[in-house]
Amino acid sequence: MLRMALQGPGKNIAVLCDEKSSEVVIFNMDSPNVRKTLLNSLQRHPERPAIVMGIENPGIGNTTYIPKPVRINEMMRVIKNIQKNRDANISSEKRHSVVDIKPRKVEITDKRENASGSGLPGKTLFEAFPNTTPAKDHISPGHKEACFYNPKDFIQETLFHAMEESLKRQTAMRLSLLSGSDTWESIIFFPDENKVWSSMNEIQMKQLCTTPLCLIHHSLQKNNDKEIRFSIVENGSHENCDTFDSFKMKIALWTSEGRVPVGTDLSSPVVLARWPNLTRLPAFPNAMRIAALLIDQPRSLSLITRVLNLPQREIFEFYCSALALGIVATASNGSDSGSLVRKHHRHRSLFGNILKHLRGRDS
Amino acid sequence: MSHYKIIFTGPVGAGKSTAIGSISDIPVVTTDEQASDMTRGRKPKTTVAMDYGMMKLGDGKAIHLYGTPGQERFNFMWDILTQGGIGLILLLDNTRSDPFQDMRFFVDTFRQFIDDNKIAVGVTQMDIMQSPPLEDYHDELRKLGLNPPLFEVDARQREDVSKLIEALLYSLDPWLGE
Repeated sequence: MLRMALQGPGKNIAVLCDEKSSEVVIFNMDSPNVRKTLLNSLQRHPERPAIVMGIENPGIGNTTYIPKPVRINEMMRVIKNIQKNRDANISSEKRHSVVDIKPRKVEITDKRENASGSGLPGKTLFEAFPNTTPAKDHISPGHKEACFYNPKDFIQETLFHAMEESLKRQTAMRLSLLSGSDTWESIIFFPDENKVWSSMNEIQMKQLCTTPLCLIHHSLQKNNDKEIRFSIVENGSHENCDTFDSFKMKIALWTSEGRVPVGTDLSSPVVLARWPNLTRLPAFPNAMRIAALLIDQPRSLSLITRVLNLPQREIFEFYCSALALGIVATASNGSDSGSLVRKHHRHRSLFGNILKHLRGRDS
Repeated sequence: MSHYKIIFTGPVGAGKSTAIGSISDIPVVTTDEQASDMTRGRKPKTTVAMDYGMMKLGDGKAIHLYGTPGQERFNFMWDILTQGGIGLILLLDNTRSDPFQDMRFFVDTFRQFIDDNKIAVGVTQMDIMQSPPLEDYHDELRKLGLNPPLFEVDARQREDVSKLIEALLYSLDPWLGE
């Protein structure tokens, strides 16, 4: 939410990034155990300005306090001051290796004007929203840890939990994203209709998925079905609806950003229990090719990447989405032996011609 | 020149003729007749011998698309039609009273062909009737020892039928994308 706030009303005054490359750190003092983390951070980087947000001022020195509910204007004022002080210090020290806080180019479209990507005929998610394509493969040698992410650090698990709760209770559930005590955005799960409705468009949802969970205040409530339905009709915003499976796949895809959950053994064979419903789920590039190999027999992700000669992120994103649907599992016999034996069909070239023909006419 | 076929089968009204029409490069040749039995309840005309369409692949090559008649009493046609087939597309109508029974019947009838080749399954009319869900079809197919591509399909949509055929081809040769 903070990311969205900085990009939207904050006019890209700053961007959220990882701790290593940050010039300012922001702490949500109402998160558990944050005080210890803050003190550690201040000890390690005493030169780096810290902003603390909270209902009460924690009274920690060398920090700037912003009371909750956070007003974006106040946040902008504090960041501008920090930038001004930093520029003054740089100038006085005549430093030459200046790295400005430059806004990232992200197009934010007003949700009322933008239709859901799944409704664009013949478009994949990537074609419909090129900005959502992860920019790189996480394959640089020596940076293996960059291949992994912990789903618990993001809202994915919260969303999946909300979905499970609504199915278990067979009642509509509303996940509210909060700004102070106010609801900022809502995601509503309708188990009877197998539909998820969000007040955010897909670009906003993607940003939400990659925002650290510690920065997101949320609450899950059971709601009266009719009230929720009425509120949707009242808003007239049906465009951000998805089926449960499609929603799950998208959330996993966006959270993954071309990585796999921490603990995934890239060399262990995995198997697809069944084909995903590829005519109705989000279109992944090369999903058919990946699915065919993973359903044929257990094969490791590293092997699939190698033999298909595809960007690693495509394999990983497919894997994460299949994982979210619960249709992929690690094979019990953990070796790739024999899975490289190619049995080409005698009509292989004919099949290639048919594929070319089908795709040529579809495109 | 070899005569390669993809066979479309399934019960009356599942969308075989429509699916062939969606991807054929020629007008579909049909052998429709007025339905005179219980089929009339589902549609006024039905295929009695076969449907025929074709995808022109260039350089004079083609893949022929054959649709079997849906009614069991025309099953003498089925063996003839499958000769030279490279794979089977089974379309099932989700609004039928027991689509799993249909599935078992057609899988059993074409079992030898499926074992020698492959099958891909499309479930139609899911926009009208969501139940049974695809998961239940997967379970039923697993009981038959099969784990084929299984997609929700609108037979009128070329993209849906294309994907089903693509999946059939990748099932026949998983290394096709290599």
